[in-house]
Amino acid sequence: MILLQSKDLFDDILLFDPQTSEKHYLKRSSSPEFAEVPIKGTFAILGGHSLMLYRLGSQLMFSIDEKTIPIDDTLSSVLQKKKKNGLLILKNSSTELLRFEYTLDDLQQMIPGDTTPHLGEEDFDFCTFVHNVLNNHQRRSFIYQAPEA
Amino acid sequence: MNKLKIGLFLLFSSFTASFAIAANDANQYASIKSAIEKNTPVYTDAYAKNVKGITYGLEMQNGFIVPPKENLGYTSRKSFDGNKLLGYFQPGTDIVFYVNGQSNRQYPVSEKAEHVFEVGNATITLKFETKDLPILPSSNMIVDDPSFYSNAKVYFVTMDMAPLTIKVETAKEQEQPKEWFDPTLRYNYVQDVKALKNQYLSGVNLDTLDDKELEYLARKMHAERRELGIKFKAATPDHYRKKIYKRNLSKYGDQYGPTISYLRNVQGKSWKEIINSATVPGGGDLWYTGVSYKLGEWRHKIGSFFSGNKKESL
Repeated sequence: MILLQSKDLFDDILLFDPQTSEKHYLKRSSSPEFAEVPIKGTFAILGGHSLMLYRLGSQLMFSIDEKTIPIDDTLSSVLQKKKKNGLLILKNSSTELLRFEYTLDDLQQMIPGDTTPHLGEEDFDFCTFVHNVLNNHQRRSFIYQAPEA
Repeated sequence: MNKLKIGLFLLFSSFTASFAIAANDANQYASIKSAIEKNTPVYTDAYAKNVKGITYGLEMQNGFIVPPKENLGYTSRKSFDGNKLLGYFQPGTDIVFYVNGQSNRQYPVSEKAEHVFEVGNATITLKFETKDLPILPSSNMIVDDPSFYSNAKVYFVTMDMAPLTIKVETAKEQEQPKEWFDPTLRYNYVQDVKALKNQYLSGVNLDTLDDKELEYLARKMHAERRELGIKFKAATPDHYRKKIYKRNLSKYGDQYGPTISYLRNVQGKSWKEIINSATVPGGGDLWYTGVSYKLGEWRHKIGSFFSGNKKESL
């Protein structure tokens, strides 16, 4: 079992068993026993699809519904966006592994005049977040490794 | 670690205990539907009598069946028809329906069914058409989340094969008077963020700093940048600011935005990335904040011009 954090709601966490793909959605506020358990991934539900980016041992993984893609050095991502519509493509050197079209809902938008620090597009779009991680080697190797801060 | 795994296993094994909700008949369905449409309290004693095998808690609240508030998670929000688990909802930014034995597959109510779901101003409209969902005609669904939709009623929806439209309206938030961005405040805020950058990064090559130094700088700038956001909170009109704080609290667990811990452990940001993002004012990519900033800049230039003339004349 690994613990994943929702990218949309801080109170939502997910216990995920990579062996059986079993998922248990929990509320952080009702699950104090997991307060000290390190986060090993994040998840979001986009257009009804379950998306997860997580680490198993040293291996970073991306999954969408039942499809799981190990992220290795041969994997690259392409993101195309037009307003609220996006297309995420994951491919290795020769093969396209995933083509995911999605539409962001209205709740996932920047609020005018927002002075909150450290916000970017990836805060409101899980695919942009995944794309940014995959295209940043340092972040790719760092993410979900640090039991700190 | 093994102890933890065993603990988790035991914990979730206990979740698998089930409760059963027998299928309700057409009359009951019609009366509930009618009552909800009229936005009147629904008396569901008859329904409650059909609830069997409660093991870890259903309670009646306002005539609706809801899980106990101290429920241990979404896994308790299951409905059964006889012994068959039909599915449950995961409240959140989207509504998703799960089907027994297919925990990986989430059937989006919003896409496969006609569906409207609005949270703003606490008006909630749900339209379900079940023909695309692989469930039995007389199924039961529980839609609730008293914590998330704090000012909405808890409500219960019975589905049938026929399209069902249910509208639940709750007290609307009081309409906030519209305010415009104060150009001077916006300008000063952006200038202070720039000053923060100059103060800490002028002449500094981040590539030459070691990890400890980067961490120190990132923590320092994160804290100061956060203080600027608080100091200039009046730069954002009140009705937007309330939305921002509410969004931040639910998204990051902190009304002022992502903490260092969140940036590191959830987003996987490096110290250098945190340093750089601390120097971005934010919100300026929207045209009105851009216009507001420009107005503030002009006002500032005009002010400087006249104060400069005054000095010369003295």
